Amino acid sequence: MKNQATIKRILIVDDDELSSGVFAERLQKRGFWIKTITNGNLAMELIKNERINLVLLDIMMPDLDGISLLKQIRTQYSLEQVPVIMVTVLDESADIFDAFEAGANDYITKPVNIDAAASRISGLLSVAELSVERSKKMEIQAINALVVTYHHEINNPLAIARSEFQSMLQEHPNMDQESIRKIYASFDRIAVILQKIQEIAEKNEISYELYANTSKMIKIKEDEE
Amino acid sequence: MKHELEIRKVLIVDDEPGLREALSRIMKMQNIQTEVAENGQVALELLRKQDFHAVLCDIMMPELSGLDCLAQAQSEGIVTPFIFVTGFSDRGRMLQAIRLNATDFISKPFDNSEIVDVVFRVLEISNHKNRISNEIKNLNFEVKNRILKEERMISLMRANNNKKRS
Repeated sequence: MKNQATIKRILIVDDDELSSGVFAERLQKRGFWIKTITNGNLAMELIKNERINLVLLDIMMPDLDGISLLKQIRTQYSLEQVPVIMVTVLDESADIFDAFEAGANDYITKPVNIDAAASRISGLLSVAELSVERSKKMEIQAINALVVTYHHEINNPLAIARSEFQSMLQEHPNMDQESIRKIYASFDRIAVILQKIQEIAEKNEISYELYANTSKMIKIKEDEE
Repeated sequence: MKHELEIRKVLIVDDEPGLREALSRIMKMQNIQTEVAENGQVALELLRKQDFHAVLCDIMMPELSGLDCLAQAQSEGIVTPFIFVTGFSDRGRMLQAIRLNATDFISKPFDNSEIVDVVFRVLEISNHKNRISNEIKNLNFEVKNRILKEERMISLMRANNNKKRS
């Protein structure tokens, strides 16, 4: 049994409902999750909301033609993020050049040979998956390097401040107890944050939480776990 | 007792000036003399010229790291105990430090009392070592003396015996 995460989600955009319906059914039998639409205007929203992994796109459509939609997709998703396979009839071969220029990954011709189509789809999906893994890994490495560097840059001044403060206390024992307590509490807070940062560096996965709706913050508070 | 009056001297090695100063201040408050070095290379040159009772040493430093400094010192027969003052990023290197016979570790940030405790413990150990090696020297000297005396006795006895016979 395949689980939710490994089932690949494909969007078919084709104005010819009949032919795309047959195509969809055959791909479903091969274990893909398929969504079919006849109008390209809905495509962008669906790619986002349905977390689409790959798009099969008819090159000739009445409302919004395939190439324009492809260009729109490429403004938001790279060739690895959402691969697009153009579907054409044989005599549209001139348009294929435009399609590649606009960011198509591949093309198949109608009438569709289901075996050839399925293997092209699988090939592109595995490349996409590898590329996502690679960029995730690079992101983790970059964050890790950042975390270790900043940990060091904060830890050293903290060590100096704490040590000098203790030496000062030893030489001037009559300082205000409340101030001493507050200063120690602040040192401890910094140390706790450093501890959390350290835990992030030891983890392999990074989780974000939205902060003020705009910038991403790395999660350092333990909750829900 | 002569040992108690002996001047104690610690070498502080860190590329961060603030930490060198903070550690020096702690040592001075305990009447321990200090020298400072900003990397392993400078530390090594000082270790070759002067005797220290202990080294308080950072691990990651430019030029020569704390670990390389310890390894090089040992290969030159310098047996001064090394106490490493470590940060989180040094963790992976601690095993290597243990293999090199590092004497102790203190992690940053530290309590001054922690530094004092560890340094005094290490000084005590090196004191004991010195005392033991002095004692061994004295014992060896005594054994040699006794052997010499006995040999002299034996040869005197032989000489006397020979006189009686003749």
